[in-house]
Amino acid sequence: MGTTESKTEEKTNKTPILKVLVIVLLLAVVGIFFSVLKDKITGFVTQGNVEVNVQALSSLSVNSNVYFGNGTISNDPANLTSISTEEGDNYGEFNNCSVINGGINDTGRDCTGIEVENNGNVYINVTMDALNNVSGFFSSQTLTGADFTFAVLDGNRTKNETAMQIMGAGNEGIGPNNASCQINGNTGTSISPSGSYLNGSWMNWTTISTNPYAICSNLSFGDGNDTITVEFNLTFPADEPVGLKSNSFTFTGAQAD
Amino acid sequence: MVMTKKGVAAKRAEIKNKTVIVLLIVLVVIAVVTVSWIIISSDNAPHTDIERTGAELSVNVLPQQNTSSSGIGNFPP
Repeated sequence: MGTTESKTEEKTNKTPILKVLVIVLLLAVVGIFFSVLKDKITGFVTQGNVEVNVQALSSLSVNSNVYFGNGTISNDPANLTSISTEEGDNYGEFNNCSVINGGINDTGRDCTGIEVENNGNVYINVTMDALNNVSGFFSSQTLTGADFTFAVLDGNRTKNETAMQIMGAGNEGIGPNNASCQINGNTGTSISPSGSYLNGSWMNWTTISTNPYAICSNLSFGDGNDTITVEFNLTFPADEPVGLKSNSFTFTGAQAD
Repeated sequence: MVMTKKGVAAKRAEIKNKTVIVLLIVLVVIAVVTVSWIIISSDNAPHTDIERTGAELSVNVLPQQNTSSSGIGNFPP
């Protein structure tokens, strides 16, 4: 009799423990369920509707550098040497920027601008940072006539991506109809500096500084129209010493508001 | 007051059970907090990922070729 009472008492004591244990197990299973689904494409069927949540990915890539190559420069202050990613001949010594895979003594179009591509799945704003400004880039003592500028064009570095512009607006100034860098609904801004012509007949050259510069407020994504190209123009001061000159640019992409 | 041997055993069992219950309650609290955190963090809040990448611009300035000459003489081919 005493043994039966003892067992009953023990059983009564264990019942709440078992209940709590079951709750813990249940919560653990729920936790594992959510953990497995986290950071993945999820789908829930509710009354015949399928909901899919694709996570936003801000991602950009830089597809080219600028190699002007080797050349001599003018030491005549009245006739300074200028080279550009938008120029054709570049005095026949520096790399040819006029054609693709061509030019005398040139194995390719090495001096294209810097092409920035949005390879994510959300609109991004793109900021450019230069390591050196004019005085940091040139070694000249006087910097008389020195110039280091950039401009931004919609489309890729060979200018054959932007479908909308190729179809008929190719020679017009870059404006609200940009196919790649579109207008940001909140800020009202698009490509910057704006107004440059795709055919290079007029470029909104802007002096390079080391301050961050927002070059596109709303770069589109997808295979067709997701690139902008930063073009460069250099004018060497007459007293610029010989040697390699280089500059680094950092492009930052963040999801557009 | 002196407890019997049986009484001591019962008291120990009671303390043991209470300890287990407290531990389980703590586990439940941890599990609830974990699940809540997972649910909250898996919402659709906009991502603010920032990505950076770089590029280079380079140009090499060569010395001027001195092509001027004067005088008359034989020059090597």
